[in-house]
Amino acid sequence: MVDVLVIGGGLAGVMAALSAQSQGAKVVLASRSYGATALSTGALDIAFNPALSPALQQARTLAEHVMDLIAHRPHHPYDRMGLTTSLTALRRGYEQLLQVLQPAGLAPPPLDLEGENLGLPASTGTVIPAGAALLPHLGIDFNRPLAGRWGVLEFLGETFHDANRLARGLAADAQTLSGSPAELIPVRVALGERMGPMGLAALFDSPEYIDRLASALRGKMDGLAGLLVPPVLGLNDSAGARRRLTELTGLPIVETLAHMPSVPGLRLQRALDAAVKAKGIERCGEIAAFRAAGTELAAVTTAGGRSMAAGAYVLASGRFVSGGVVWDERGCREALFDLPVVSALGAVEAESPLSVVRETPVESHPLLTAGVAVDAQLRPLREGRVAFANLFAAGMILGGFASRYALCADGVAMATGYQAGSAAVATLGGAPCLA
Amino acid sequence: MPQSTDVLVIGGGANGTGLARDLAMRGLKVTLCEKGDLARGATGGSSGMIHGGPRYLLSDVETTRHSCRDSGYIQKIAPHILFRIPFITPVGRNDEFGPLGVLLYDAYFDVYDRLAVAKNGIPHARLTAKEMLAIEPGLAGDFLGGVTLDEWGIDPGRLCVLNALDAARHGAEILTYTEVVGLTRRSDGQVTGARVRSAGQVEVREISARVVANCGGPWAERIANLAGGGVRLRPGKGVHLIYEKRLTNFAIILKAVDGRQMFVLPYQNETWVGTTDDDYYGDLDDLWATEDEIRYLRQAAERLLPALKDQRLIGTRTGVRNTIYRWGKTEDDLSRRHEVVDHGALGAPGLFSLAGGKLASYRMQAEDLSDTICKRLGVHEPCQTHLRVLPGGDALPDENELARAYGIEPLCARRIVHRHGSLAGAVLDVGREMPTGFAPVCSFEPTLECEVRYCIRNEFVAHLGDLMSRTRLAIGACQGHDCALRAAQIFAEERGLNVADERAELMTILSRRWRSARPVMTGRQLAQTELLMTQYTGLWQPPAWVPHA
Repeated sequence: MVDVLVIGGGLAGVMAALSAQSQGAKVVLASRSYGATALSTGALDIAFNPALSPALQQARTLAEHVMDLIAHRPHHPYDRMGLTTSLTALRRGYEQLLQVLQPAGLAPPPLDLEGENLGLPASTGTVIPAGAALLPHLGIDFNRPLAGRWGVLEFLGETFHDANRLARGLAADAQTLSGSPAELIPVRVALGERMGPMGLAALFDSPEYIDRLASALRGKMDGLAGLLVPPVLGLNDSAGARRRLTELTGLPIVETLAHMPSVPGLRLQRALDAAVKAKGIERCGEIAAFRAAGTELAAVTTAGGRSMAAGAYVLASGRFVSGGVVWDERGCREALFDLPVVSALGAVEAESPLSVVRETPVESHPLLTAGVAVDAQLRPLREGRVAFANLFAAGMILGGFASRYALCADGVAMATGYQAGSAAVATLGGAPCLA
Repeated sequence: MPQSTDVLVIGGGANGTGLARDLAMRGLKVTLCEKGDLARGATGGSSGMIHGGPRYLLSDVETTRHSCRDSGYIQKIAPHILFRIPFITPVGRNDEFGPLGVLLYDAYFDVYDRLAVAKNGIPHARLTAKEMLAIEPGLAGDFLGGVTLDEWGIDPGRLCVLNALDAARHGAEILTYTEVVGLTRRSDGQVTGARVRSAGQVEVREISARVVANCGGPWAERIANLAGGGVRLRPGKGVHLIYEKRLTNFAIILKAVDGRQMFVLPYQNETWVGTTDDDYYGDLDDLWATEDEIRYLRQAAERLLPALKDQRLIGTRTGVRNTIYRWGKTEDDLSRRHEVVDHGALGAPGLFSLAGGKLASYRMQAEDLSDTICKRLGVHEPCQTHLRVLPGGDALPDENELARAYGIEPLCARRIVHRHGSLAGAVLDVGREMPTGFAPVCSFEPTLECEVRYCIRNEFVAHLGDLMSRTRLAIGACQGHDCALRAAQIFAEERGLNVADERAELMTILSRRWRSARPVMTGRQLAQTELLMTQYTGLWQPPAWVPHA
């Protein structure tokens, strides 16, 4: 007998699985394939209120940003859980993630909810606010004056990481954010064939390539205080690659946040996979069907035809990229249980995207906030009632926020994943069987 | 002192650029004003078919005759931007003509073949149901057979660019993003020029001209109204759906729920389904494909090609036809004929308008208006536009040789030859200036950095979004996800833009994609949209949250 079955193997799903297991439950994790987590940038977004001016945004702590989201966004998952639970779940979920990231050398320092958002460099040449980030991306905060002159590394012939664009764009944003100029200069090295980010990352797992890079950099680092590099320094052993390059160059090394295809996203996903394996959590494939009994979910069936019954279930199937929410000929809805979806503006019952997507991309689009509505225990609702007494939801499948505006998707995944896992265990009644 | 010219041409579509070229070749001084980019109205919204119009054979044989003759000329002057597109008309057992259907179509196209000789058409062929399904196995239905039809398509965006380029080579001045806001007139009514304003500017300046030629397409009525009217249109909106990949080899004619004729068209990497034809009373400058139009097209296309149901719809292409007004007819029965209007009889001498017409005969329409203007101005040079090729149309280079010479993929070479013809070498030479010159800018379209740079330098590119119609940048399945950022960087380098302007330019391309994709943001397209939005997080200041706005 399974205690908790988690649907979805991204950040939220793994957080729920680890949380339930740590509280004594026997857990099975069902996943179809990689989703949005594997495409994420390397930032760990906690909370951000975009309605404020940059100066006000910078001065606010992460906890205050959480409060802002609760105050202004009625369907936001932080609002559903309430402030106290949200902050506690954020801390615990984050601690759980640190355990996951430690073996891969990706773990950042502990979360400080009384600290401010960081201003991190993205490979698009812009500064992006982020509550935290994987370790390779920490070391520069453009909300503060940049000390010394930093080099921006470019591999000649590669177009995904243009040093000139980065140096110009980041310096412009840094001026706006910190009020003082940032000195960034392109540093170009030739490595040979065009590889793209994934190819380069695989190369840099090998120490010889780090050595080659270091010797190519020789003579180009005079007067530099640090080196901003493309997010490709190793895929399986990024900690080793960074350590070696730091030793050889004598400079602090910071990777930019990635755009897609994202090496940091893949690193994060692999660290999550490794944690699931290390904890001995059983995995199964995609869930294709379910069976209800009264007000409870009785069993689910995998695409391979295997039926599995659990005491409680956590739905962490993501949004559009991951396939948790679909819009087909039957309308916009949650994909597996056919749950209705809500946007930040209320129910999504639109016939046409024209009514839930605004006219220009820069606006905020209700459709992109579509996901299931939940009660305070994170149980999905249908027509105002709890859909299944033993089903909980976590991560992007929750409606009411778009990762792109209130930069909070990782915080939501950590907090609601942790909380949904705990709530699932709590609902089992009696003592869960010991794993 | 105001700028002065012989002929001020208003409109940068096929008619306007074609007229500018015609007049400039006859030695006149020409200034063309287009309020947006070239090919942004009816021309850019069209499917690019330069077919002979077999649809008009019964109702309007003159149009068919003209179209066939003129599309033959277009093939001679622009062979590089052409593509052959064979059509199949499937005949179903339950169609209106019953078992006689195939024979009737056969006879119908016999007549058409005779006219279509002028456009180098291969005569039609009759197919049994088995033969037809062997060619296009995806068709669903109970068929008696089918009839093939040989047609041609053209890249309408490039057609306008090439006409404008050639006009400029003959001394014409091409002013894009320059709107005509009024006409200047003498006290006797004579039109003496126009007041124009550059996009985003407040200041209005005058251009004086001996003749003003209104080639405004669907906007022609509004432009004529600046001088008291004289053009009356019945604009008809047409919508195409664009699917992410090619699903057929032939274009396929099909019937909509109301019996109207539609088509499924393989176009470059995509499949197009079109079109609707509905009277349009809305804002010409704010066109959107609506839900009912999309459902109408999908219903018919998915009925014949069920595989389309699983395909990602990546966008829509919407335009408004500049059909001449007529009361009491349905949209499909309106004539596609053109008219040259001399506003002299209406108290505004010096103003001429071109109303109606179709893409396939744009050259002849331009010639017609040009003849009238030349007569008025006492110019006796004959029209040359059917005899002299458009830029790049003289000798098409061998794409495999180019691929070898420049070390690029043959497909990239083929697309560059398709877009630039004999200028392909000049395009590729740009690639030798920089280490990334031959790197693809997009991962879905074989568009290379050298072509992007070449177009920015040579093809009237004012904004990043203008590159879409020059190079197919951000047109394909990626929606700008992969290419827009890189292209913005290249554009900023070429123009020396600062960071803020570079980001604003990036928005011009993303906004244009958005207009195309927003009406179909359902299904798998939603995942792509979510990716796109995440990709560009931070490139613009997030908007203030207004929960109930």
